[in-house]
Amino acid sequence: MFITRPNHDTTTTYLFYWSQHIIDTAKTHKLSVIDVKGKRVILKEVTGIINKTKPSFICFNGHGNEKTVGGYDNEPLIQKGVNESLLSESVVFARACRSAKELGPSCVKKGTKAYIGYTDDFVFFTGEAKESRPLTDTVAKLFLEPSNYVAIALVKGHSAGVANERSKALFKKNIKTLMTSDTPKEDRELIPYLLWDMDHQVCLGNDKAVI
Amino acid sequence: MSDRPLSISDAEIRKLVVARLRSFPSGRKMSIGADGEFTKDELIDRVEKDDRIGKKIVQIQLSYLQSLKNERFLEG
Repeated sequence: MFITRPNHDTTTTYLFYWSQHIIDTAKTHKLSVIDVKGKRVILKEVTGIINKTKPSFICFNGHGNEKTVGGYDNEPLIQKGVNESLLSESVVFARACRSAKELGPSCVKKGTKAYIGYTDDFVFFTGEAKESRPLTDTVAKLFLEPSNYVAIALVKGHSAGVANERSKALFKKNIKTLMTSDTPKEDRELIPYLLWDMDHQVCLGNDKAVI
Repeated sequence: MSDRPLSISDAEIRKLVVARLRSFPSGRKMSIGADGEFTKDELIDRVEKDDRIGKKIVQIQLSYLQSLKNERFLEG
């Protein structure tokens, strides 16, 4: 498994910390993990490692847009029409905004087995006082634990389609928990945003692909 | 009574979204990708200004209301 974890702002720092659960699960399942983090998440480094190791599973954390997934300081790593073939023969999970809209389909056309990502912005809430300790942030957990599960299900041996569906089931579970009458009103206001992420998370390509 | 469907202006929708945002506790921030993190007051300001972030918040809220109308949460 190859994973990128830039940490140049609050959002990427949250993804950096929460991705540790993915890495731990992969190691538990005896997968070798190439963890490229911080300032190392740049095009040259990522290209070199993927070309050399041909990982069966690539997990990106970072910012993105319709045509790009970024690394440290938002340096473009994968761009539509530029270097999608780098991801050929791999299963990809891109936790980045909007990349499944254009980049994902383009990657699949150029050989990516399956591409799981988001067709619109991936949003989440944080507790302000928790920014220095993201893993203790129970508000962010509502969003990041379900999205983590895409990668966790894949490293446990499930197919891309099943990983996507199980992740969505966790989003739905959190939504239903927040809908109960004993949930404070201010927490129920998180529901539209969880629903947004769930609805825009898609699996493109071969949903039976495994890593 | 008229049978015409109830119509609501964009400005009225923004007022409703702002009212919902006011229910948020002050200590939370929303992360919207590379656009950054926004406090409750900043989100309210963006919705009132109707800029890209404000439009996104409105879009998320309207999508949620549509899902309620479709009774999606009654599914298993």
